Amino acid sequence: MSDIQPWYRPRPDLLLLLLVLLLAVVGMLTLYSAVHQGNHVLWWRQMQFWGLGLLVLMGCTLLPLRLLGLLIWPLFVVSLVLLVLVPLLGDVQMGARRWLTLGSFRLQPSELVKWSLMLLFVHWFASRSANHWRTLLPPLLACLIPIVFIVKQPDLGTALIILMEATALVIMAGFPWSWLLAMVLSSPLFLALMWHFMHDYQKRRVRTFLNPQADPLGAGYHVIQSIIAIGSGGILGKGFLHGTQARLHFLPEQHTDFIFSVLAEEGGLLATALLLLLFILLIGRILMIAAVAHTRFGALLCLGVASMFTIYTFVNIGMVSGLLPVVGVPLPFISYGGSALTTMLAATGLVMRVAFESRGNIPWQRPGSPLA
Amino acid sequence: MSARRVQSNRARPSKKTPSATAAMDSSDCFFRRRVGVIAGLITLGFVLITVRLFDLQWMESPHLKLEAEHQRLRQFKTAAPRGLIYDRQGTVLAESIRIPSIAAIADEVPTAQIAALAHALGINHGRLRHKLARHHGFVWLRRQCPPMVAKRVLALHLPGVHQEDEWRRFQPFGADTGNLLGFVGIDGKGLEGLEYSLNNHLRGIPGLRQVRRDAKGHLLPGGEWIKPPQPGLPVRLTIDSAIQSMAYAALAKGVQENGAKSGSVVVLDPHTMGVLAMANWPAFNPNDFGHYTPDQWRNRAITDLFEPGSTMKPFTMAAALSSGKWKPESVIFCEHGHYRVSNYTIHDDHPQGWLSMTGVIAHSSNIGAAKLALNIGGESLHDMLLRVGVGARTHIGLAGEASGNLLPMARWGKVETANIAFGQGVAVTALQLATAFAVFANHGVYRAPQLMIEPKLLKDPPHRVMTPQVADSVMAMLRQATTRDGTGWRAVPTGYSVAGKTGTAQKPNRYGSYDRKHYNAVFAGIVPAASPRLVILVMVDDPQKSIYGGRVAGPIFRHIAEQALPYLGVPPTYQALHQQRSMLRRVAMRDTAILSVRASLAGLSLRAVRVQADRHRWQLRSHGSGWVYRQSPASLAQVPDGGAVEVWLNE
Repeated sequence: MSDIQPWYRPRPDLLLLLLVLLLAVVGMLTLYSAVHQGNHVLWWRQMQFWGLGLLVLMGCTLLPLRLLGLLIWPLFVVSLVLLVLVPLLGDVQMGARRWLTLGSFRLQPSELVKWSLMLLFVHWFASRSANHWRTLLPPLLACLIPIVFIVKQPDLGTALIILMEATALVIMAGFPWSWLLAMVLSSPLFLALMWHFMHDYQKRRVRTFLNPQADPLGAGYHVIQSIIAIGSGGILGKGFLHGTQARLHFLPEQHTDFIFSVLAEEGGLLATALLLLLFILLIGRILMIAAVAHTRFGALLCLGVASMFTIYTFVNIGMVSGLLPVVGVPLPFISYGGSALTTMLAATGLVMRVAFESRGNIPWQRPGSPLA
Repeated sequence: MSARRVQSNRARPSKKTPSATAAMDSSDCFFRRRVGVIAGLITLGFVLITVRLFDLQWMESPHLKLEAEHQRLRQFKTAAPRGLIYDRQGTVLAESIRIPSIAAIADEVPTAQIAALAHALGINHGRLRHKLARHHGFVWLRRQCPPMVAKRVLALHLPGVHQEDEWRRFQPFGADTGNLLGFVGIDGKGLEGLEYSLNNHLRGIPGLRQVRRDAKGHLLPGGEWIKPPQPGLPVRLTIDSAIQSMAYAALAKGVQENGAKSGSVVVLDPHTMGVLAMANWPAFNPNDFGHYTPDQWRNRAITDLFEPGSTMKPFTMAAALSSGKWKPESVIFCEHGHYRVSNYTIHDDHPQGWLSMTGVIAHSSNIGAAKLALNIGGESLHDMLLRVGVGARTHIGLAGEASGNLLPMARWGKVETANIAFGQGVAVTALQLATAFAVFANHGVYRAPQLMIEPKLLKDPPHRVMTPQVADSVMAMLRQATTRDGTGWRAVPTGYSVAGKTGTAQKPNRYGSYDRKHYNAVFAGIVPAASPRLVILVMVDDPQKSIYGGRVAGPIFRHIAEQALPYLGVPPTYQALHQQRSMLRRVAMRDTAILSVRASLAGLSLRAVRVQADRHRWQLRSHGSGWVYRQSPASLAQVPDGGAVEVWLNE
């Protein structure tokens, strides 16, 4: 124990911060390319979101994990209430009621629900193992209520993400492998059941995913255009602000869900590889923090955030490159959107807090401490 | 990749802070395994994405790049301008002018905007809607519209609507050259006349242009050529636009004054055998051909056949002289107007007794010509006509040329021989007859006429038809035919001598006999007779006021000659001047030579015309700008000082 630093020196995880800032640079550049022909306001607003998000990150970094534990249940209840308010007061955009208008900006409660549910799972399994139905049932129930509301909005993408995230956390919390195997084997039945309850447009999306060329000007248009944009970028790309497909408006939703295609077209494989590397480093760093976390809560929290980032990235890139059906999922740190960015930065802040608390010898975390 | 990182990192902190690891209970050990599993799953996800991106951006990139290009680039065929048509002086007779047309990709035009589009185009709203509904791809909305309309339409910035440049053919000389040059359809294809027959030479090769478009169908400015359009090759004609205009004006005036149905003029240069002018009446404006009937489109000088009548007699005479049986000094008895061949009687309008060879031509005796032909035999006449080109196309390079009718030798009986001797029972085109007359001007050598300097068509080599002596003898006789004693005196322009022959032929009717009311009036002449510069043939179909070639066609000939000769710089001969009453005044003038050379103002600029007008105190009236192509009166010789002169100019 001689090499334990005797003084208390709080220091944030600079590598994590650096990676986030690098992603900010890449994201703002790509967003500029996507909106520079039209709405510059969006770029400035995203800049403000980054400012706000970094402040939130700082706040979360200063938030002791013990205090966080106390906030989780209230947070969950608040987000659930907001979610319930959506069908009553929400805005309708593109056929779905997902947003709540609060003064000058719009909030997407489903975004909040995802994170509060994740925190709830982390909190629950921090002291329990997921190997008994008694420990599994309460969180599953807590998870099903919001899912029902979200599916009703309708927003299948978010619901699926919640399910994936819940699955990941349950596995991490010690879900028996044999049970998992059984679940995988019974999944076709489950999928068939889901198909039955899906909306027509959702079914169309899945069909489109399975065969995008069937209706190239209709449902498959987004994916085909996105694939063309990505592929036509080639290895070196067409150059910053020189992407033809994006500039000529062939590419839909350039600044939000399909922003990856803009990057891929203008920067080529080089840029996409760089972005993937940044994501891998970020997630890897979070996993590292998870590995050295002093508490099961901290480790689970990091794993939850890491798997959440991974799911977002995988689903988004998979969607724009035609691997997965089109669901409205933003690319972390890159896509335009305040709610998603702020929550993700908050999550990053929590991870930093975990790293921070694992770094030094905080009194209550010393081995043998009754508070550990 | 990240999995390895995680595993290697897992070892590091354990070295650094062994106390922390030691503090973990057994469930943490299990927990770490789970972190590994999650790291593996995450790695799997990223590997999947990476593979997919490699696939798209590396393997499939060329094909997707093509697809991207395919959807953002539109290719348009662009018409190429046709070749220019020049006259011998380099004056443009036909050119292609760039003109905007409005086209659209029908599916990309927003339905809500059709009303605005129709308004801008100035076309019917319902019809436009129908047109856009019926088509899916490319469709013309309005072709060859005024530039203002095109500007107005493009200002709407409608997706799918764009401008395409087309070429419209313009013939600056209008009706003057209309029948000769023909016209070009809206697709740039020659449909009549020279534009039709030389279409392959004149037409350009269309180019292919590539333009970028955006997702909504708006075309972006700019674009590049995949294949630039190749303009057509130029054509240079032997036509002289000034002489063409003179000929056309004179013909138009003559035909209208005589109330005739139609008329043709061919002007040849006997030295080069180039066609200097080929004019027709009725003519049409080729820049507005749609407003004329197809009947008015054709080039009558080569498509329409007529019986040459008395203008055939010089060839009978040449055949007679060539046979050796007859000498220029010989005399022949003309039977006082009635002569029976088999059971058919030949008449002369002016009964004659004994006539010299010259007299037969000068008085145009049918009986004399018939007796000569019967004497030498049909075969020699047939040979003569064949050799001067009667009954064979001249292959001048115009479509629709008629070959003419010459009976095959086997069918020549006595009656046929006698009739053909004075030009009945044989049919020629105006161009053929002019070419035949050029034989006399060329001292007995036949040369095929030509219309084009470039591209040059292959021509039959010249061949001798008669000895120079015979040709010169006939020329002398033809000269006599235009003196006061002859039938053609009205054709003689002041100050020049003419070797020519009048012809008045009854028109054959559809019952196989001759019409008593309908005639052709023809005049074929060579001028000046001493050193021929022009061979002019005038044919007027069915004149009403007078039927005689001398009265109807002769003045037209004179009008053309008295303008064209000064224009060509042929000075009048003083001997000839003295013979003319009207010339006495002009002889007294000081600079006769200069003035007489400029008896025509054709080809002068307005400034030069003004100088002349000032000198003679003419009251000048001018129309248009550029160079004089027409004047009134036709010859300035008749204009006294202080008289009125009117000139028409064009570029």
